[in-house]
Amino acid sequence: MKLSTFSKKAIIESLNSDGLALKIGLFNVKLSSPITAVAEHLICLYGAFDTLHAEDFIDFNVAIEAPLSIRRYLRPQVNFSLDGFIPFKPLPYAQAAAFFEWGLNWCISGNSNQFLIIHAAVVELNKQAFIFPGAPGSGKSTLSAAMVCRGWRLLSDELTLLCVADGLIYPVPRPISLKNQSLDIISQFSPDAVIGSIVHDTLKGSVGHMRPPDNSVDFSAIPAQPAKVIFPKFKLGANTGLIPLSKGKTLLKLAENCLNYSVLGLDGFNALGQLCDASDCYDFSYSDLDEAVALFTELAV
Amino acid sequence: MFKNYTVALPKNAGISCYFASDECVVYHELSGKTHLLDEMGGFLYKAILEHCLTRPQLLAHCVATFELPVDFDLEAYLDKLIFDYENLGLIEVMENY
Repeated sequence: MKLSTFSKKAIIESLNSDGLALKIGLFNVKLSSPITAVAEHLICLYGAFDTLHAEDFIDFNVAIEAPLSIRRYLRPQVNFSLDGFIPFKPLPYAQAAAFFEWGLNWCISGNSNQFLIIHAAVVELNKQAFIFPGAPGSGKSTLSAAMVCRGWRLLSDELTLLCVADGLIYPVPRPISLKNQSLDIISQFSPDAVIGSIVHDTLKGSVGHMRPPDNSVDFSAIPAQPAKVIFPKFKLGANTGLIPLSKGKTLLKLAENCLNYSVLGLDGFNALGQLCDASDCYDFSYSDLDEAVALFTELAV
Repeated sequence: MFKNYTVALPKNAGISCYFASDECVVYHELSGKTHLLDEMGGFLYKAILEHCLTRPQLLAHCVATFELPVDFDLEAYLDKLIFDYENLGLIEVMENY
């Protein structure tokens, strides 16, 4: 059953008791949290996700809770935990929901070595996956948010899971993290986009999450064939420019954007080689989202 | 640098290559590092993958394949390339007496 079929009261009760278990892409995630903002985050952004049964195996058993210290009351904070282990320092209480998203990124990137994990957004149209690797600030999330607002399928805005065994991209469609001016840009680009609560003063500035399209969530069991690797660079006032990039340079740049390349070793290198062989590769500069989406839609025909 | 040498792949280093067009990307399993070789480097590395080559053979390969500017100091360029690749563990260099 989809989460949207549950009442707010039922969701809060689940989060407060045994935890609420959701199917998120390939992963079964159980979340416990007594924090209302976390429940509201799930209700707003995870409505299309399937809930799991009590007997289902759970990959990540996580919790967002206030620490058992004075910081529960004085300038309150929250902890993220995985199976009771707290890997990070606590964050301000207001960042509880965002902490769930960041923590889940950490869970996936540290425990999915059947995949080469590329720090990249990935979207698909006409059975062609476009991969947008890039450092924070390169504009990959903004670009992927705009593309899914125009009908592309979201596979991920942050973690591209390239299967070492079959060379396909496995989806983990989750809320898209938007920061600072990207929040306004996407709100103007697509007034129908659902963006959850915005938290300010995080290490990344102001952060909000955009709800993934329902059909992207519905198709999250279906992997995609890589077709393009595109390194985006948002630059205010820049013309839309798509410049072919050699496969050798692409492989090297991809390796720099992988999270577990050194763990996988030769398997990771071979997976990148196959990805480059299967893809056209480009550098891309842009400032106009409409032009960017139109260009990529044309490329995907 | 030796005056004459033979270049070979290092034994048990776990070298893997990805070739695309005139590019060569080398993965060195022991160091875990990935290197993008330039056009001439990639060409020579491909030749070294097939069998050991001496310095005169490497020079001959370059002269036969690339249109080099008249003032290009190929010997110095090659020696530097070989020195760098040896330092990266991509090749073994043995002196010829």
